[in-house]
Amino acid sequence: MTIRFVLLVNKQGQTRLAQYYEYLTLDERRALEGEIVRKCLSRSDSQCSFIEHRNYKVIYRRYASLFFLVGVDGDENELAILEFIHCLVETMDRYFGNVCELDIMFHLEKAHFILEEMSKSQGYTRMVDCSFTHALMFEREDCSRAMLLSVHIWFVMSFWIKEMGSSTSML
Amino acid sequence: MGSQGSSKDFLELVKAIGEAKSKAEEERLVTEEVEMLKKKIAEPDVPRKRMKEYIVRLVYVEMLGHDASFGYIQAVKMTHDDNLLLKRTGYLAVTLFLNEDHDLIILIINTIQKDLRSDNYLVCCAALTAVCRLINDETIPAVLPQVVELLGHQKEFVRKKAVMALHRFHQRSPSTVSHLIPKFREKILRDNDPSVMSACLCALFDLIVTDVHSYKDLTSSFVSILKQVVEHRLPKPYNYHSAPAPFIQIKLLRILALLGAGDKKASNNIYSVLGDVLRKAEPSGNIGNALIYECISTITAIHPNVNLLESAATQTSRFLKNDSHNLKYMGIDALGRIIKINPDFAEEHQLSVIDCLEDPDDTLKRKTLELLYKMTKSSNVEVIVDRMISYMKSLTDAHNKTDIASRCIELAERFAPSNQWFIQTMNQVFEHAGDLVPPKVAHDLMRLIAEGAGEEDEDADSQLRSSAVESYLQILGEPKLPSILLQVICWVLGEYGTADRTHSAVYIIGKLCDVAEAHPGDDFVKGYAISAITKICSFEITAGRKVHLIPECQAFVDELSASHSTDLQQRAYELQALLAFDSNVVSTILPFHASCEDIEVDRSLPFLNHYVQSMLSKGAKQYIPANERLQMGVSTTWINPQDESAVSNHSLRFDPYEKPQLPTMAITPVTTFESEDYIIDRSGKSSHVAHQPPDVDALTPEASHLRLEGVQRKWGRPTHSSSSSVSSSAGVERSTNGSVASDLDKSIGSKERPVPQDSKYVSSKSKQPEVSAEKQKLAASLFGGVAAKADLSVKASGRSQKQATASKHSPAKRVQTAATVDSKIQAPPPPPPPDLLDFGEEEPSISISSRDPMKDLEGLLDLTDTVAPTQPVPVVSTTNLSTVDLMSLYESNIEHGTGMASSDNVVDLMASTKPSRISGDESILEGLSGNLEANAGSTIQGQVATAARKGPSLKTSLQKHARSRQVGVTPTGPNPDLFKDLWK
Repeated sequence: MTIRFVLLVNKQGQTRLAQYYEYLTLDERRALEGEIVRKCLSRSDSQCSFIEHRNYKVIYRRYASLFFLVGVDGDENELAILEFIHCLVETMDRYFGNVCELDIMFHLEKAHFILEEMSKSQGYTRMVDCSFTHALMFEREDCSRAMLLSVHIWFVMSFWIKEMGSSTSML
Repeated sequence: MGSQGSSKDFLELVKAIGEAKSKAEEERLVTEEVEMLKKKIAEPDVPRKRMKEYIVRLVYVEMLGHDASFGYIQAVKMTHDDNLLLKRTGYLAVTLFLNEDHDLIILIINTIQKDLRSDNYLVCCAALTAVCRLINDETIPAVLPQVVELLGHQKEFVRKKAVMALHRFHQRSPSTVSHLIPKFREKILRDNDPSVMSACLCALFDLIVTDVHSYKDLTSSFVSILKQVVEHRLPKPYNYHSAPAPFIQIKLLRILALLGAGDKKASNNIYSVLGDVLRKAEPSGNIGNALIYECISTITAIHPNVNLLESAATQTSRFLKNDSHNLKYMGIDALGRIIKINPDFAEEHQLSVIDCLEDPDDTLKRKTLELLYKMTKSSNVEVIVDRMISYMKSLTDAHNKTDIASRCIELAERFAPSNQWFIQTMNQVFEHAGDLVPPKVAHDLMRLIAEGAGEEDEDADSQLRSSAVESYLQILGEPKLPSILLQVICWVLGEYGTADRTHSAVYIIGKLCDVAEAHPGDDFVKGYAISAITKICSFEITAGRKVHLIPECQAFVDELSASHSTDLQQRAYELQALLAFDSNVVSTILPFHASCEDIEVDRSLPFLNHYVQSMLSKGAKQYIPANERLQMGVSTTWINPQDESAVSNHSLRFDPYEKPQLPTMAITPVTTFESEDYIIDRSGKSSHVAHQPPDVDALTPEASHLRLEGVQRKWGRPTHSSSSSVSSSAGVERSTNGSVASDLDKSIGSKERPVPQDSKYVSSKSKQPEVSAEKQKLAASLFGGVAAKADLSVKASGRSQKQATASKHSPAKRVQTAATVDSKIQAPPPPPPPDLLDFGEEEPSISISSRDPMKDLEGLLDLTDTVAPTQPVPVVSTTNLSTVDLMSLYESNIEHGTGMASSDNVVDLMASTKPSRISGDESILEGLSGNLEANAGSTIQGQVATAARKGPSLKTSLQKHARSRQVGVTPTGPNPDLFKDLWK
C-alpha cells in the first residue's frame, strides 16, 4: 500500500538520488537498482510505464536523461503514482529553476528534502502536500506576490530563503 | 545556480561522478573518495559547514554502493547543530544511513527530544520527520508524549507531521498509540487545515483496513469531505493541474471502498458522491484518469449500483480502446474488477484483451494473464493454461516464473478437464520451472498418479498410469530436466513402469540407470533411481521371474554401495539383499501398488515395553518427556519467555537522570550490599529483579545499577535478534538473485527463446484477415463470445496453426473442444457460479480431489515409509547451494552490461547533439574555472593528478562538462522542456 523507494537514475544507469523507506543492505540496493534500471532502459516509450519486479511494482517516468522510479507494493493506483512523479519534478523545477541532473547532484541534500516533504516523508502515504510544493516554488519567484496568497506559505518560504542565503555564503 | 556555497573539492567530485562514463570509473572515483573522507573526517576541528559537505559526500558514497559506516557518527553529531539546515542535513543523513534498529539511534533520541520541544516550529518539523524514520518499538515511549503534545501545535505543518509520526508508531507497534484512536476520529479528522486532515486520512485508512466495523459511522463524514473536495472547497494550492486535491480524493475513494464493501446502507450514502467524482474528473489527463480508475475500483468494491456500474463499464471501455499502454493497463485491471460483478462484460472486450495478450510489452502481457487467471473456468482452462505456460517459457526472472508456475498449478488443480491433461500440464510446468515449484506439488502429482481419479474404476486408473509412464519415457529424452521432475519420473517408473507389461523390466532399469548417470551430483535423484530399481526388481521376483542385473545397473549399485552418502549406501545394500530372497518374502516387503495404503504407526511403541522394563529393573533411570524436563529447569532456555515479559515491562528510559545526591556515609555500605545482592539475583533468576518497582530505585544513587539492567537488555537481546533477521533476509535475497542468474544464463545460452513467438507475431500481423479469424477463435475459446458465427473449419485450421506450440493435444480433440465451445455459445452460457470468480489467495483445490493438508502429510509419510525418499527440506537447501555461487557471475554481468550500454549512449549523444546554448550555469562554470585557476598554483599534487586524468587540460574538462550538461539535461528554451513527454 505504500511507496517503498524513490530512485533517480540517469540513462547510463548511474544512481543520482535514492531514498528507501525500508531497510535494505547496500548489496541488496545495488542489485535491485541494477536490475530495475536494466529493465526500464530496455523498454520503449510506447510501452507502459509500469514494471513488476520481484514483489515491487515500479512506476517510472523519463525526463530528458533522468529516470524517476518509484517502487510501490500492493495494489496502488499506478496513474496516481505517475502523477506524483510529475508533481515531484514540477516542484524541483520550480525550486531549482529548469532543473537538470547536475542541479540534483550539486544539491543532493535539498533534493532529498523536497522528496521527504512531498512523499509526506516515509512513503507510507503518498499524498502530495501541495502547500509545501508551493512554498518551495514561490521562493524563486516574487516574494510579495506570495505574501498576498498565504501567510504560512510565506513564512516557510522566507525561512527557506534565509537558510539558502546563509548556506550560500559559506565559503 | 548556487553551487557557490560548496568547496572546490565537492564540485570536483560531483563533476567527476557526473562525467564518469562507466560503472568501473565511478567505482574508482568513489573508492578514492572514501579514502580521502576517512582521513578528512578524522581531522580535528573541521568547520561545521565543511563537515556538512563531508556528510553529503558520504551520502554520495552510500548511494553509489559503498560502505560509509566510518562516518555515521559524524552524521549523528550533525543533528546536534543549532543551524537548522545543518541539523536537517544531519537528520537526513542519519535516516539514509541507519535503520531503525541500529545501535547509534540511541544517541539521537536525546536530540530528538530536545528538538521536539523547540520554539522554532521548523526544528520541530525536522525532528518529526526524523522520528518517522528512526524510532523503533523500544524508543516510541521516549518521544510519544511530546509528539502527542505537538498534535495541538498552532502550526499546521507541525500538526500534520505529528499525525504522520503517530501513524508510523501505529504501524510499528499498534498498542502504543491505541489510546489515541478516538482523538483521531473526532478531532484530527475535523482539523481546519486540509493537510492535517489528509495525513489523518492515511492513518485512518490503515485503521479501517484492519477493522471496518468500528468506523462505519464515519462514512458520512468521509462522503461530505469528498464532496467538498470535489466542489473545489479546498484552497487553490491543493489543486493539481486543475484537479481539486486529487491525491486526497483518491485516498477518500479507497476508504469509501472499504467502508461500502458488502454494506448496502453505507453504499447508498456513497453513490451520489461517486457520480460527482466521475463526472468532474477530466478524462484528458493522467490525473483525471487516475481518479476515474479509482472510482471504478470503488464502484466495483461496494454494493453494486446499476447506473454507476454502467458508467464504470463505459470508462473501462475507453481505457481499453485508448492507444496509451498505460491506460490499457489500467483498463485491463479495471476489467478484472468489473467481471467479478458482471462476467458477461468481458465478452464485449475480448478482442482488446487478446491484443493486450499478444502485445510485446511484457507488463501488459502479464497483467492480461492475471486477468485471464481471474476469469478461468473449466471451459477455457486449457487455452489459458496453455498461454501461461508458453509465457512462462519466455521468462527469465525467477520471481515471475515462480508466480506464473504456481498460478498454472492452481488453475490446473482446480479446473483440469481430465487427469491426462493435468499430468501433461504438470509435466510442462515442471519441465520449465522445475526448481521453482514447491516440492509439495510434486508429491501431489505422484499421489494423483498413484490414487487415480479416486473412483473405483481401476481400468481408467491404470490407463492413466501407463499414459504417465509413456509421457515420462518420452520426456527423459530431453537434455536438461530439473531435479524435482526427475524424482517424480523415477518414482512413477519404479511403481508403474512395468505394470502394463509394455516395457520390459530391463528397459526401464536401463532408463533409470541412465537418469542416475546423467546426474552424478544429485543424491536425491540417485536415491529415487535406486529405489525405483529395487521396486522393479521386487515386482519381477514376485511375478516369479529371475532377475539378472544388467552390467550398467550392477555398476551403479556398486558405486552406490561405496557412496559417501549413507542413505544411498543403505538403499544399494537393501537392493542387493532383496535379490537374495524368494518371491514370498519380497512380495511382503515391497507389495505392488501399495503406495496409497496407510501404514499405521503406534507412537507408544508397545513392542519396546519389555525391553524398557528389563532396563529399569537393572537400575536405568526413568525417561522424562521433553516438556517435563523443561519445567524442571534442566535446560536454560526456559528463562526466555519470562525474560521477554520483563523487557516489555521494563523498556529503556529516556528521561534524564535526576541530579545525583551526595551519598551520605550511612548509605554507602547499603549500596555495596545491594549491588552484590543484585548481581546474585541476576545470575540466579532475573525475573526477581525485573519486578522491582523502578521508581523506588530511581530515588537512590544505585539507580544507575538498575539502568544497567535495562541497557544490558537493549544491547543484548534485541541487537542479537535484529542481526539474525537481517542475515536471514539477506540469505533469501541472495538465493532469489542466484536463481535469477541461473535462469538468465539459461536464456542467454539458448538465444532462440523470444524468436518463435515474435516471428509468429509478425507473420500474423502481416496477414490481416487470417489474424482476425484466429483472434476471434482465441476469443471464442477464452470468452465464448463473438466468434460464434465464424465457421468451424476455419477455426480448426486457424487453431492448429496458432497452437503450433501446444502440439501435445491431438488436433481432433482441439476441434472437439472448439465445437463444444460453439454449442455453448449458441445457447448463451449461464453465468458461472460466483465462487469461481472469487479468487481468494489460497483456496483448497476443488475439482480433482478435495484434499486436506493432513492427508497430504500422511501421503508423504506413506511414501517415505515404503520406498521413496521424500525430504523436502534438503531439496530446497541443495537448490540454494547451487544458486549461491552463480551470484558472482551475475554481478559481473550487470557491470558489463551497464558499462557497455552507458558508453554507447554517451557516444550516441555526443554525435547527435551539438551544444547550442550555454545555459545559466555558465556562470558556475566560470566561477569554477576561476576558482580552479586561482587555486591552481597552490593545489596539492594529487588534485593536479586527478585533473590531468580527466582531460588534457582543465579547460577541456570544463568544456566537456558544459557539453555533457548541455547534451544531457539542459532544456533549450526558457521553459523547461522536461515536460514535453507529458503534453505530447
